[in-house]
Amino acid sequence: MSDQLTNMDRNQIEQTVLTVLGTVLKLPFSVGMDLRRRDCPAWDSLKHIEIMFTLEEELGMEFNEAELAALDSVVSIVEAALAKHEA
Amino acid sequence: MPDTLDSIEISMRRIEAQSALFSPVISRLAVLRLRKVSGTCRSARVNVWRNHAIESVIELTRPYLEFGRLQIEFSLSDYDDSLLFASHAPADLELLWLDSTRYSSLGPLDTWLEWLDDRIRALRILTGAPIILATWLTEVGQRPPLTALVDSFPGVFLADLGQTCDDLGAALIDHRTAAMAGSAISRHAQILLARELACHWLPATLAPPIKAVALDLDNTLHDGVLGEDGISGVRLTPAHRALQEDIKSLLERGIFIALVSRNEHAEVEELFGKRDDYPLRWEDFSAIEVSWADKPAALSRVARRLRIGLDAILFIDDNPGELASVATMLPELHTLRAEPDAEHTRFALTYYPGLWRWKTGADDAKRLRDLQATVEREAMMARTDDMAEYFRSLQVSLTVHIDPPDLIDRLTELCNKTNQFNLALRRFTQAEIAARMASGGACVAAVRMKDRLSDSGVVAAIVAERIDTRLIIEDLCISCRALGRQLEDAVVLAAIRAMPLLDGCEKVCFQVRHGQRNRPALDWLARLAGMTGLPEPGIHIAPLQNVLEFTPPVGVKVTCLTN
Repeated sequence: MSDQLTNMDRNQIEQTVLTVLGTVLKLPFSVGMDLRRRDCPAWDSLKHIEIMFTLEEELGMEFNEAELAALDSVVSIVEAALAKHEA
Repeated sequence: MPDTLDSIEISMRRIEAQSALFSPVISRLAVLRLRKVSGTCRSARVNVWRNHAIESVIELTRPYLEFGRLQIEFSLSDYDDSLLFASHAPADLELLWLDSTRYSSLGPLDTWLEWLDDRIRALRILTGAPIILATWLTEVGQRPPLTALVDSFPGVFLADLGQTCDDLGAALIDHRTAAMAGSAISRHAQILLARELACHWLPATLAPPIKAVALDLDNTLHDGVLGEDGISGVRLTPAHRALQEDIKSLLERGIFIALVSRNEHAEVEELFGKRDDYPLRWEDFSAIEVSWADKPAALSRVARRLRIGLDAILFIDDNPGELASVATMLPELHTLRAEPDAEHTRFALTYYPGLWRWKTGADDAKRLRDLQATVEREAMMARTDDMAEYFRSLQVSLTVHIDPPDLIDRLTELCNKTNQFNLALRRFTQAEIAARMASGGACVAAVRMKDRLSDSGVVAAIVAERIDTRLIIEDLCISCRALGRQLEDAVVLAAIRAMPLLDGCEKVCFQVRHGQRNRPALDWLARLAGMTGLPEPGIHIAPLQNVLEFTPPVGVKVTCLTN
């Protein structure tokens, strides 16, 4: 498990996800929002990869090909990151 | 007067950006979150012809480009393996962004290279702009023939993505994302290639080069303050040693280094004399400004001493206030902050846009010796009224080369770097120079200059075309290192006289364009053509007999070589 993730709790992971989404999509996000790809036209496949690459760096983890394709909302990304954290 | 508040704000933002952009370990999020570094930018348009995605890389280039004062409008083609260049529009640069693995079904490498050769020729018909081929080959052994293919075209450059990632220790490919992202370029490679693109490949093709690096001393070239710690007390950390070695290596590429420090001159000279562990030596600096005077004035003197513009100088100093002051007074000057960890300064220097070159030629290294020789020549000239004796004692020789294919790189460089003695500022591309050499109706002359003090190499480019009975000089450039030697007439008129196209001409015409700094060239033409004022933009006829009856100054040997 990476050093970055070791001491992160759910709130910190969620905050990181929102920061990354807001930076890549250039949109404001606040804690508690569950944005989904299908509801956000700016979140296209290219932006999705930028988001996931940035998250991998920030969280110090790597998602597999299936996860990269399936993680399509703030909640699902946070859950997947937490699952890796606890694994 | 520059806007003081804006300049200071820009300077502070640049310092903030520098830490994120040139960290040894780059954070993608930190790069993407950088505040805009405003200020004057050079604009350019780049056509991207691609068969895989480049968008993520482009997004990461933007902060780097802005830091390097470049604003690029990327025009992206659809994904097109066939490279048809559909709807081609003029641009300053053509970028071929190709995933070569998509062509593996074509057969052996030779087949793909033949196809690529054909596509580059097709693009060259559409444009004379520089072309960068950015691709990779899966096997290292395949790289030489690709390099040879690219090198066979003037104005075409190879950005080998595989070699670049190998050199930087990063994996280029990540197959997890190929289907979804339209490109198999890995997460790590994306940011590294964005940095290469924005800091090396694009500026080396589109922006004026940095010709000198001016350095503060304390807490820049060493750790500590000379006036407080003393000669033996200032510390050369391993990172400072490596930084000094990197700076010294700039000399081999013909980039001047200068010392600009607030200190006692004698003490600094003594430091370099006594600290033999310093890779940099006192004599490595082409200009030295050590005093308690203000740095903007010192840097202006450095520019005059080196005969280059302020926009061709990168100044490195550890003091943010000093950098802000310089940026306020000399906004065209480039600046970097020397970081407390010199390793970070090394990275910033390595990637500062405009310092990297596609190629380093023999003429680059001659620049430094030439500057030293200039001081000796000026002293000799001041001591004599007899110019013939002066030329004889110097053993001056000029060699005119007509249509020399091996000098295309240098001629293009002269057309694009020369600002003062550049009559028409045409900024020809390599492809345009090559086309004129190959054309029966045009001609390109290169002039080499040499004397017993230094071999200046190729110092002039003259590009001409024949229209009916007129010889039109499309552009005329002389390097600033050859100016002030009373040889401008000899250089230009000997070259024009050597052009076969001059036979049967009734008129010699010069194209003129006004720039910010090309007054020396305008003054020269005014004198040649007997004008009372400066020539206006347009075409000017010079008396043919001034060319035909020209004889070189006594003591100057002229040789003509026709290809």
